[in-house]
Amino acid sequence: MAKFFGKILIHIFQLVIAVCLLLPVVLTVTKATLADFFSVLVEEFWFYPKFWFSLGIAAAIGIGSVVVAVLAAVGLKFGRIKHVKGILFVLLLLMMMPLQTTLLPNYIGLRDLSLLDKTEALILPMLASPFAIYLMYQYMDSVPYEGFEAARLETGSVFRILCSVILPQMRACIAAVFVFMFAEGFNMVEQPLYFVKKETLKPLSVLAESLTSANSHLIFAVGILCMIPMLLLYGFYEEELTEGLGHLKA
Amino acid sequence: MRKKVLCLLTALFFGLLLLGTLFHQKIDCMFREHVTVVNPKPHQEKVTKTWEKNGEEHRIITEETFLLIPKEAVQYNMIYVLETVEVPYGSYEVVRLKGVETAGETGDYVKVTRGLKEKDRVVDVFSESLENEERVVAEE
Repeated sequence: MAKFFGKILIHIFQLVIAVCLLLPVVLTVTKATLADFFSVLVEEFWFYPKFWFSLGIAAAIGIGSVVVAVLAAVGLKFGRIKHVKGILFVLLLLMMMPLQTTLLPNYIGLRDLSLLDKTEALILPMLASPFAIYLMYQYMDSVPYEGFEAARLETGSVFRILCSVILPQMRACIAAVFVFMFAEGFNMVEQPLYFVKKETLKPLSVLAESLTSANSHLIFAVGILCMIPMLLLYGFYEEELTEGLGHLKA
Repeated sequence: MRKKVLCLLTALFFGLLLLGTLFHQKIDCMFREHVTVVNPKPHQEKVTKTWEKNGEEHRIITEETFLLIPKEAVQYNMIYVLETVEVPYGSYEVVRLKGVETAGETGDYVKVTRGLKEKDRVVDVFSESLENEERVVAEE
């Protein structure tokens, strides 16, 4: 009897969580009207430039963070670095830190490099993601070291070994990192609010700030249009995401 | 099969967005009211004014400048003036209702004394279908 009630409680709890997660999506879909879509896609000037800009920023962040994560993971795995576990521990700590703790150091760094209010201010801080490096390293841990050593007998070029031997085995993880970092770049909110002031450099994710009370209803239509690229990306790389995340372990 | 459907949907979505990026302004123009605008023409006229003082009639001739706009542009001393609104990424035009003071007609034109500037762009026909601050497409 107790087990039965326990199961019922768990199901109710799961239902509540599911409703809380789905409610914003359902609200967005039901509140958007055809007139709003017409307004956004035909009448307004800002949607298309902001959409392509957001997509470009997200793609740059996705590709850049994959490159950085692959190189960092290869270095940690095959570079015979001492205290690798210590570095991984620091990465784990950084992963757990909220974004707000690194906003000010990033702001000071960008200010000193005169990159504030430029596109680079949105891309550069996101390239070295601890999550991406950690995930890539964990996946690379499953790549046998013997393969690397065998390839060293053929060629001395680490870059060639990376491209011919390691990367083909890492496809799933590369796709997973790209999808995650693309989603993070497409949905970032704090960085555009603090690092850029020009209206033309603000992506769609901070649109709510610039909409007035007269046209705030357009945000539902924009929300749906922004969800579609994410859904398509997830649809393409669903298997790779599952495989890539499966290697994430402490 | 699933990947094929996803490829098709992706191509459709981004294709439509690309078409929208290139042609949305042209499509928007199709749904807007088209208006023709004219610039007011400056017109100078000698005006004789008379007044009586101590039983004597005095006359003075002054040269006054009016702005001429088509008769059809004015209704109940109101006209529509075209204004350009600048927004990020572009601009569009709206019509605004403006009150003017007139001083009679001359031919097909009305003489405007106040409420209008020479560089204002006036809608040549006052239309009941137009609304204040409505977005329009101007044809000059």
